[in-house]
Amino acid sequence: MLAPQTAVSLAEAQDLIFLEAELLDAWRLDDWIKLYTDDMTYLVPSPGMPADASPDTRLFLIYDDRFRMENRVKRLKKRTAHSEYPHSTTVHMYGNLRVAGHDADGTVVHGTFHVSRYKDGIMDMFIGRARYQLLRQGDAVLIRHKRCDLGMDALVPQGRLTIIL
Amino acid sequence: MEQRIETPAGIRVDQSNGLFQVSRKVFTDPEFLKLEHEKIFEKCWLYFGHDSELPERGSFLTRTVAGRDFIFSRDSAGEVHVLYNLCTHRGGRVCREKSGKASVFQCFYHGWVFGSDGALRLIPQEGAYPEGYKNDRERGLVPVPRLEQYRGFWFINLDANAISLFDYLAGAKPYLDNIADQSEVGMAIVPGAQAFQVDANWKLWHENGMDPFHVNTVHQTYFEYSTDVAKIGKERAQASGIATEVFDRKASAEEMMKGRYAALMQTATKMKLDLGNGHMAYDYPANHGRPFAQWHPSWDPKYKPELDQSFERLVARVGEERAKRIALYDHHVLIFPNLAIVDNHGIMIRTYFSTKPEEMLVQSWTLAPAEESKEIRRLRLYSYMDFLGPAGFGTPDDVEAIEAAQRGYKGAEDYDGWNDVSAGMLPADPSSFVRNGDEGRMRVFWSKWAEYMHA
Ligand code: FES
Ligand SMILES: [Fe+2]
Repeated sequence: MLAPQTAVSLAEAQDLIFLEAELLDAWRLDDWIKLYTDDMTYLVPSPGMPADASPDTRLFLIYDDRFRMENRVKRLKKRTAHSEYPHSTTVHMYGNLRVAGHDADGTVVHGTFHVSRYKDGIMDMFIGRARYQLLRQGDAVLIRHKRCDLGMDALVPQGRLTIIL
Repeated sequence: MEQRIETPAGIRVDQSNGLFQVSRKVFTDPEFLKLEHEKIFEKCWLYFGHDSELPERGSFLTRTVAGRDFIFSRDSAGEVHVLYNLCTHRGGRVCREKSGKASVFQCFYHGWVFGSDGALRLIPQEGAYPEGYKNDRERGLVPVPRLEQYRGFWFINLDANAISLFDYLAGAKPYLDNIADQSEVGMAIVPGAQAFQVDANWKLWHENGMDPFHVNTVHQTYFEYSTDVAKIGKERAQASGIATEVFDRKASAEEMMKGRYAALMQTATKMKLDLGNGHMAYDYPANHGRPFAQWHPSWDPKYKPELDQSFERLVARVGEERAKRIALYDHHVLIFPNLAIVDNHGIMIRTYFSTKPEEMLVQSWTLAPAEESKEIRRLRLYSYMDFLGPAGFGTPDDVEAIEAAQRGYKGAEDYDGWNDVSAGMLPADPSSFVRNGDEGRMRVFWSKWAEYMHA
């Protein structure tokens, strides 16, 4: 158990995660990535995988460390990132958030996500379980790990995952 | 000028004017799709799955291929079967799981029980039928008409009279060998199948897989990324005392094109890199790391010793010339009608099939040497996602490009629209192929496609 002053409260977690949703929906990706630690990971397993699947032994959709995530952001800001040009409209809904535990690596928060993406007359939905590990660094609470397990077994009909969940 | 031949199957070729066109109707008209199902998908060998997906006796998985639902199973004697996933009683769905291990399958509708070889084992109301009724082979799950494998790649054919898979694969076999031989113990599918829907006709994806012209425009952001990665990596490599000039040389466009040109010159067939039976391929020296077995400065130097070792072991196993071909080149092989195997940042196997003209289901898997170390496996999976898959930096832009084209075909009948795949038919500057490639491989596909559609 962490000392109480380093544990992240549910209210703090919600503030952070709802801010993340707002920044993503506004495509303010440079501000969004500031919510993450330098040793961050962002994982999206391929659809249909068990909740404990590891990206080291199974093929994921996304397995980003800070370096690749910065490059994902850089790419998404270009008009030559064709699949997101012009940017789609998204609504990120994160719900059922609760603090699931604390350990030396941070505070674990569980919840669900329901992200809608609209582009070119087509609405796609991405649903599933979200798991976060949050860390207090100085005055700020940051996201260290984020994992989104999709609640479907194929990207049908979505076809691609070019937004950040 | 009078040589223009218009075929009912939707392509037109005018050799003397260097023109090769494909009607946009073939991507939108349900009549064409119906004909393709009948004349191509019910006649050709179709990739089904890899032997490693059934690791043990009793292993099974369910898969949709050519719009049919099948069970892929290894029975208690070790034999592999592809069975239609529906009950011979009244058509109930027999297996409703994605994969697993089972000695029998029980239909949940009325409880008939089938063995993993498909034979009917039990009818709950057996007394209602004549003596020995369930033992008739006809009562067992229906096997696919033909099932054959080449080096662990299982294919099905819906036509009982088809030529053998071995003959069908023709010149594509050495490419499959070059993949199968990347392991001393056997290649295996890595868990993590990726299935996704693309709102475009299946042929557009196959075309895209052999289209050299889209690479620089569609994938510009990927190349910008990989240039950055290589630059950072080069500094890191030099800092740890690894010379990198050789990689600069490999990465030069000239060197890559020399590779392409050499490959072209080795091909004595009538069309460029035509492997026969509508299959085609291209390979060129890789300018990035290959998890088997080529280190590159874009990767941490800590991976270099193991990759170098794999390469040396490969040389000892298959000789230097073949080892270089396998490990230092990227390979793309497209097997008619709907299989692409790409061996670059990892090995991707991909199939695509349309049940509506403007939609396809894409299924893809990745294959790796079963014996590779944890570290290289991690590197392989990480590097695969750089470009490949529905969230990579490459694939989604291909999807966007072909979906946009498909949308554009709406209304093409108003002006009798044709796509142009003429590049390289009659080049004003023959050396342009070496610099830029051409659309010759696409014509290999379309010519075979038309041949089947006419048959
Ligand atoms: S349909 Fe399968 S038991 Fe009746
Ligand atoms: Fe592409």
